[in-house]
Amino acid sequence: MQLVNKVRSFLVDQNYYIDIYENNIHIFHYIDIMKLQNEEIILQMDGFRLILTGENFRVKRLENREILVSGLLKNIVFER
Amino acid sequence: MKRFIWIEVEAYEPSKVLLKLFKQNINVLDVQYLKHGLRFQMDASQVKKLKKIVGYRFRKIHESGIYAFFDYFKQKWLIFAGLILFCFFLFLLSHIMVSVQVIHSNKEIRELVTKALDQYGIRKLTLKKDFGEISQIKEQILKDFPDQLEWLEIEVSGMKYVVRIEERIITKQEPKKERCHLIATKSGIVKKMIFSVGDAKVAVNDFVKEGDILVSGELIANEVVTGNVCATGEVFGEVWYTTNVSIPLNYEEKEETGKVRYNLEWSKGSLNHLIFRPRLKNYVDEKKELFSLFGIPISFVKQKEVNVTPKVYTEEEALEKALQLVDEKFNMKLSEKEEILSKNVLKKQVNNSTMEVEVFVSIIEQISGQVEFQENKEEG
Repeated sequence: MQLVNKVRSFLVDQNYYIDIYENNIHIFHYIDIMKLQNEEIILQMDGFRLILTGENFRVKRLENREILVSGLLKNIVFER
Repeated sequence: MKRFIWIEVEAYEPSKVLLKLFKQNINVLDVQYLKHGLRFQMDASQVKKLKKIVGYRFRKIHESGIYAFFDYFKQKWLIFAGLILFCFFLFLLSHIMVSVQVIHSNKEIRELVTKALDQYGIRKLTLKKDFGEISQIKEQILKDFPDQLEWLEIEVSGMKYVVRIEERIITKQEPKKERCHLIATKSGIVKKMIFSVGDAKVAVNDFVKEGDILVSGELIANEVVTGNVCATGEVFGEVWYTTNVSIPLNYEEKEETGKVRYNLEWSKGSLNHLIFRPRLKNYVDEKKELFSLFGIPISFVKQKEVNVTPKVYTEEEALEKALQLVDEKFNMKLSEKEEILSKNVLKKQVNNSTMEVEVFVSIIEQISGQVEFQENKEEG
């Protein structure tokens, strides 16, 4: 996975990126988890806070700089 | 290769556990939400970090990938060990030969072949040889003993070798006799003469004594010996014997009732032992060998119940039985051309429920035999 991340960071010159699928949200390069609940997840990103609100959030994968969450996403806020 | 393990933890608020895992820098994969907790996969090298999380009891469920198999093997080693032992035992049962049975009436031949087989590795408690090896050994033994063995077959029957042999009988051609008489081997009355060469000295219905010349090898013309031949033929005569037969008057008559019970039997040498207690009081049995376990034959026994009735022969019946026995006794010795002419009871006596019978038997049998003689050379 580390190798994939390195390749990704080489190819994609971004501090972070967020993938939103039908029922999944995949976030790379978060710094900290501020809140982790079924209806709301708040992540500290580089220079802003990412606030996800929705229903039935469930963490599927939780790694150092990567988080995969399933659930119904209703709203996404970039708080600077 | 990274080693992952499955962990289960009880928690009413799973997100709190996840946050604590995050704080400890523990990466979790394949997170599953249970009714009262979580199940997830994590790197086995990070397990120690779980101890730092207070308030939750993390339980290792199982390993993942190939390690899961190793873990399972470690838990169930007794079953695996048993399975391996069972396979090993099965291999032994199917590949170890427990006896070598050499079938032949001649003890010397049996010993000779047993020794040769032993030399080539066919002996008890050894691994079973394959078909090719057995064929080679057969050929080699036949080559080693060309004068003694005609044919040899090594059969694998369950856990034993069954060796059948045909002995080579080299018949030495008897040197052709030049001068011989046919003489009487027994005293009797000549009844039939069949000869191709020679000069008959007796006629049918003549009484001859043992040693008398029946057919002479000297050819005589005008009272002068003109030539010598080997008299060839057969002379049959009536000869007489007296024989004694003893018949017990009491006997048992067995009648089958139709009731049948089954049993198993093992044998050691000439002794047979029933495995289950027989449930019938009086029975006759039929046996069929099922298999041989380490050289001990196990047989299936069909026991048929019989009613045993004690009976006594009448004098006439006993006499008839005695004459039958006489017939059997003489017929065993007689050839096709020989026969019993008559039987007469000389004496009968009943002693302690036994009848003693003396029988006079008249038989037509061959009474001739060839004897060589020296040529009479007249001097002058």
